[in-house]
Amino acid sequence: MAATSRIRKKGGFFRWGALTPLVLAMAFLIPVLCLQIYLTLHQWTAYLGPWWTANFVGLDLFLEVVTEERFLAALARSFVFAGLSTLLSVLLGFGLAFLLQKPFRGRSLYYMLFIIPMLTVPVVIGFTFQMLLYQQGPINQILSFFVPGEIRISWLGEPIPAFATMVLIEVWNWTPFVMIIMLAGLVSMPKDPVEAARVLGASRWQIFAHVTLPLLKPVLVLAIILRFLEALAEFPKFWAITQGGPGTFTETIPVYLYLTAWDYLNVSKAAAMSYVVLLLVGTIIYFAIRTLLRQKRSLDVMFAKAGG
Amino acid sequence: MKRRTFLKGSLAAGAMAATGPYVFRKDRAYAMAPAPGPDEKRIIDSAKKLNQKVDLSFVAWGGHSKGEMEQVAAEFKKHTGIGLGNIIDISFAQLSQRAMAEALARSGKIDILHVHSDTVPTLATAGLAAPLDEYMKAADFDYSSVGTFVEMSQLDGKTYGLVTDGNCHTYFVRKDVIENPDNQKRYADKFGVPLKMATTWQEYLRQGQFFGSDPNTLTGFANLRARRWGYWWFFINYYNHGLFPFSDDVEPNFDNDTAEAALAAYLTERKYVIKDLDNWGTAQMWPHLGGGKGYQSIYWGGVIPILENPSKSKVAGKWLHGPVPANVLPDGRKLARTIAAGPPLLVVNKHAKNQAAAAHLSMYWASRKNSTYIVGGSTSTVHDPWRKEHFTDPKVRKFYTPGGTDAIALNMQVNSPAVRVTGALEFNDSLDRHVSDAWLGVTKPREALKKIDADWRKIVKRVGKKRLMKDVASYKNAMPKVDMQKMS
Repeated sequence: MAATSRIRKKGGFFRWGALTPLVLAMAFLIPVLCLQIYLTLHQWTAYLGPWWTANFVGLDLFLEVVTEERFLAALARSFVFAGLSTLLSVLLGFGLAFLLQKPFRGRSLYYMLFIIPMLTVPVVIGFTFQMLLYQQGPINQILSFFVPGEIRISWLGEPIPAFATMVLIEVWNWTPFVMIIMLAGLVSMPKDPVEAARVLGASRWQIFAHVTLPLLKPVLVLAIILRFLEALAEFPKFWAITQGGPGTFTETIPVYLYLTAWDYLNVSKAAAMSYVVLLLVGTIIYFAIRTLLRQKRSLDVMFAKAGG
Repeated sequence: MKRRTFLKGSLAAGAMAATGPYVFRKDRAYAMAPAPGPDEKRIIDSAKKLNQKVDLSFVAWGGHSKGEMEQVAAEFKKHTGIGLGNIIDISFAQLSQRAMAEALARSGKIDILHVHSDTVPTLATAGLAAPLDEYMKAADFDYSSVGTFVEMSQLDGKTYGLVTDGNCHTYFVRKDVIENPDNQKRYADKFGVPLKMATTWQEYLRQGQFFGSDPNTLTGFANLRARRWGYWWFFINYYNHGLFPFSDDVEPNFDNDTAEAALAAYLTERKYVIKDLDNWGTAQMWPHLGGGKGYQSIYWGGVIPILENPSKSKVAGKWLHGPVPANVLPDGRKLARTIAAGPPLLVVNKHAKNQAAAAHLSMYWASRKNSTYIVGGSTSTVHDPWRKEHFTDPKVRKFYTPGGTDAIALNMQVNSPAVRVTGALEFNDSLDRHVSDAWLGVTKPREALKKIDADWRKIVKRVGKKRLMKDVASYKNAMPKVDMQKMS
């Protein structure tokens, strides 16, 4: 009784209550991670027998993965895809957020229209774009209106256009996500610094570059991190549209991982691949969070100075 | 009209549209399925001995289970109490994955699975596919097919699946284009021979090149080359060069001059196809051919009822159907081979407690009379003929056209499987990946073949030579027994 009241006094219920989901998540995750580590150290091909009968191979699978040309190529494709699509969607999303930040007639309608791509199921996007992107399909027909002659781009049939098309589809799909984050950042941004800069005679560009952008940096970094990680893990659109083709030009890490785990049923190799990717992504997240904290701290210092 | 009346009317129409087909299909189910013949009665008698009243669950390739298959199952239930319950419709690309998931989970909740015949060895090794021989013996089940479809469902002398669909690539050409006097003259002037349906691979390539690659008028070739599809067509060339992928001691057989010649034949089409083809699947190919933009194709027989249907094809009635062209080998011998693009089989889950009931329903579907009814039905165009009786059935002949039906029968005699050994998906995908790279010009043909050999050696090492030696023997047994097609 006395112990219970002590916990209550210190707000222990709330504290422990908040930790419960984390504890439960760990209780679920840790055995899975342990099993996955076990699998990476053993060669288990799912159709050849139960996992506990698999041969011990030590770190051989990790070595195989990090020296494999196909894995490295898929990794490079994933990073280029994620990098390009993040860059473009951040630029566009930021632009759209700027356009929508001030109230105007029909703003809600535009907002609704802009977020439709984000709400569409990826597989539906995949099949729809496949139909739109035929050589004699609607997109080439529309483009042909604007230029002399007939446009016959093979968007998905040739290696580089296919990769570029996948980037553009990703940008179309996820720019609204960046727009929403940036819009939230713009709306919640303190108005005083902008007002002060305006009173001091700063131009629009100066206000944007020296006031708005620094204030939005933490939000911007967050949008970049989330978008990059999401793009790195993109699978359904690739699978629905190209299945890694033409050739292997759009075979990214998620596609290769899927093939290894579910086509080749080489679960151990897929597990080793996942750990290598996890390590890379973990490193990125670590540096990203450090950047985010640094941005936040510099803003805190700036506000503290302004307040003082 | 008042707004309220309009809304009420719309609601009623919506409800009719949503429930109507279901209600009518259920009514039809009992009315249309054929009454059991002697073969079917034996299966019913054997099933009655099980004394089981159960609704079975079925993981089916999307659309395959609809219409006739459901009707036949309903008829079986009427006689035995064994029927169809939960149908899980999934796409072709997910069948193997779903089956392997069940092999690992061993839930026993799925009774019958539709799978790709190439995966039979893998599923048998994984302990998922139940051998059906005892059930077949108990019901004195007649299991026979044109070509080697039965052998494609067997491993090591045991039957692990029953065919529902004679999935076989057949050859068709635009009759109106061939008979066009201008084309006839131009072709004869250029090559000194008349333009007619190709009988040799060399002729086939020459004609495809002659008609070129203008997507707005006509393309000489209209086969698939997309990743995860193209390798089926490579196998046609590979096999018609007299090759087999493994030696008896399971050494891969690609890094050699004959395989290079086969790959060269496959790659010849590259210059004469539209670029989009590199990403096309069946859904894109049908409109191209049905829109009258393809001169010739070697393609799955199920496309015939669509291309010959005036409501779905602009060029219905304008096709010639025939045997796939033969390759003329250096010694002058002619060798014709086509490919079975994964005929779907009914596999019974070894972990299901309703295994015996599932085996009996599968046999009932695959029986002489019922399979003819399913193949001749128009609900699903994906059940192609495979039993000898199918090819003489008037409904089947009408649906596939007489010419189309005979062409399928001819092609089935030289029909070959893709790689069908334990780990088939990985072997086939490795082959496909390197052949795709060669198609795009990223890898030189010989280099691609060397890479296939190297990849396959690694897979062989992992799967184990001993196991694969047995599989290879079954694989050889599923290869065609004749060099050329003959009308029997």
